[in-house]
Amino acid sequence: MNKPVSTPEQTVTFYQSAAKIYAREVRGRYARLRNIAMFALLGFYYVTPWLSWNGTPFVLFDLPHRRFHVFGLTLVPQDFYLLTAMLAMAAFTLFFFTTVGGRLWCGYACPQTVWTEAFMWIERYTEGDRYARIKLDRAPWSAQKILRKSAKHLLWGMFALYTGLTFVAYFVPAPQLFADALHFNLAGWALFWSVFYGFATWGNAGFLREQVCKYMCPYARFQSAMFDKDTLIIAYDEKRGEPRKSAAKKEGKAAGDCIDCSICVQVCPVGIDIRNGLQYECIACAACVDACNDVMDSVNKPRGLIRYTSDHHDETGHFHIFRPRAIGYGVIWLLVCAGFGVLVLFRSPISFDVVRDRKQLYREMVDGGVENVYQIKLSNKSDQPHRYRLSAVFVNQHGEDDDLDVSLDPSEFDAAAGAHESVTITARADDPHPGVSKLKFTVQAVDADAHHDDHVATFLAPSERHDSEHDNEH
Amino acid sequence: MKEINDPQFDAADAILRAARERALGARPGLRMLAITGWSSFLGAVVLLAAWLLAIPHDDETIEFGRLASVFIVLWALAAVPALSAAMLAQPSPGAFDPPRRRH
Ligand code: SF4
Ligand code: SF4
Repeated sequence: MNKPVSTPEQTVTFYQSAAKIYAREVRGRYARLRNIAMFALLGFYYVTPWLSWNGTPFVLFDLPHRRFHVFGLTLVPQDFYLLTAMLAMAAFTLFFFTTVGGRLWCGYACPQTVWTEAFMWIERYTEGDRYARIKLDRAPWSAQKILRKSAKHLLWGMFALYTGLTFVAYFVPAPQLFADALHFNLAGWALFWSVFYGFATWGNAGFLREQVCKYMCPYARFQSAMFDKDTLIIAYDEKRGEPRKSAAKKEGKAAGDCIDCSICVQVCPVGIDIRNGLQYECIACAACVDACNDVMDSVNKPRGLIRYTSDHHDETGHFHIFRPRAIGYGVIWLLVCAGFGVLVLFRSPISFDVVRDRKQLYREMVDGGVENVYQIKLSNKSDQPHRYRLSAVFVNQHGEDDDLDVSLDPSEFDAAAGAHESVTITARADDPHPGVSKLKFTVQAVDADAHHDDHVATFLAPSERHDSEHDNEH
Repeated sequence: MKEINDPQFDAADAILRAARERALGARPGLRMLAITGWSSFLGAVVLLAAWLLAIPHDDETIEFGRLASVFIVLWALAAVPALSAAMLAQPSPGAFDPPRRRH
């Protein structure tokens, strides 16, 4: 490790024209963790649209038909509450982990961080390390510079376009989309969104990078509301590091452990100096922790001059994980997760409704029977077509079977996967109670036991029964 | 760590200044546009999900073209409060000057 002996004035002039962050490569425990997270999340993103479950896509947001397939669950508009619960669960997961672990999401899992990391890999591969990149940007245009820059943009462009296509594959089945793309048949909205999302990836991960976290991301701003004195942060140990070597030399004091090498600033992807204290720009990527540990190893000092800590840990030397705020968020998070689990478990695969035809009260038949007309509304929320059988019984005010005969016509009908069927049926009772009574309809899929539901509707008959020679319509 | 150290490039204050002055950091107008654009985009995505699921559409299949126009309308609607909030959050020129005496 060379010791820097810079004169700041020289560098200021040099940098004023560049106005760019050239993050230095870093290796270490947290860099490894970030790489693992990056591979896992990118793998998940690129592979998921190709997976299916019982012939149904694992994840597919079928917007035109308003059917969202999410990890084996098919959500239809009637399941709006489930989608809301899912979003609430995701939000509370984030809140809970932010309270306990600080900006874990920003540092390891946010798409902005993950794709920026991938783009920086490509940049390092084509243009070299930090120093080589600075030199390349400062050098006049040459064949080598054109070649390196073109290679970078070509790889970025291809990666971004593939990312855009994969994004669209969450809305249009992947095999169909990629087949169209390979045969240059992609057109309309699929083409527009692939290019748009690809362009956004290229711009966000290639150019904007830390600008998104610093200026644009709303979550970056409000997550400090979830922090308390025990939340995990990354901080410089001022007591141990100060006075820094250069300042101590000038003042003739004994130096602290910081040798003022600025490596922690060079590796920082958002361009801040963690030695100036906790700043809202810090995404807690821990690159400076790895870098400083490396420096400490090379000067034979203990690691941890920059480390994961908390305000409380700094004061007392103890981490305090179980505290009211964390417990509160944890309990709410568990309740929301459990509530979501219960909703999924008891979710009916059909939605069933019976509406009496309001145009006529009842029909009295020649043989003394009485007919009522109903509209049956059934949504088949499953991914398979089913045949449904309808039955009905009269029930008393306690919901018990009244033992009166009733027949339905038609008593069976089909519903395609995801279809909303509306069927007009006639319920006929030979000897109903006079006036108003309750009729309980039950629907049961012929080929699936779990697909059943019931609904109680009103059945109307004349208040005083009489023999009629003709059909009477009322 | 294999990279070369070159003191010419490594002074912390120069790196900090470059980061501060980069892109949106030095362009407040563009910054406000980026902030409101992105926040309202996120808002429009949530609104589109609500529009798709919570509002009855009589079983019709919704074309992507219609979805796109609805999304643009929702984005424009979401941009109004986002832009207003961003503008109101900016201190007006002279807002923090000491009060002047009236004559
Ligand atoms: S904190 Fe560590 S990496 Fe940063 S300047 Fe000091 S010694 Fe170098
Ligand atoms: S200060 Fe350290 S943890 Fe924070 S963003 Fe910079 S390198 Fe990452």
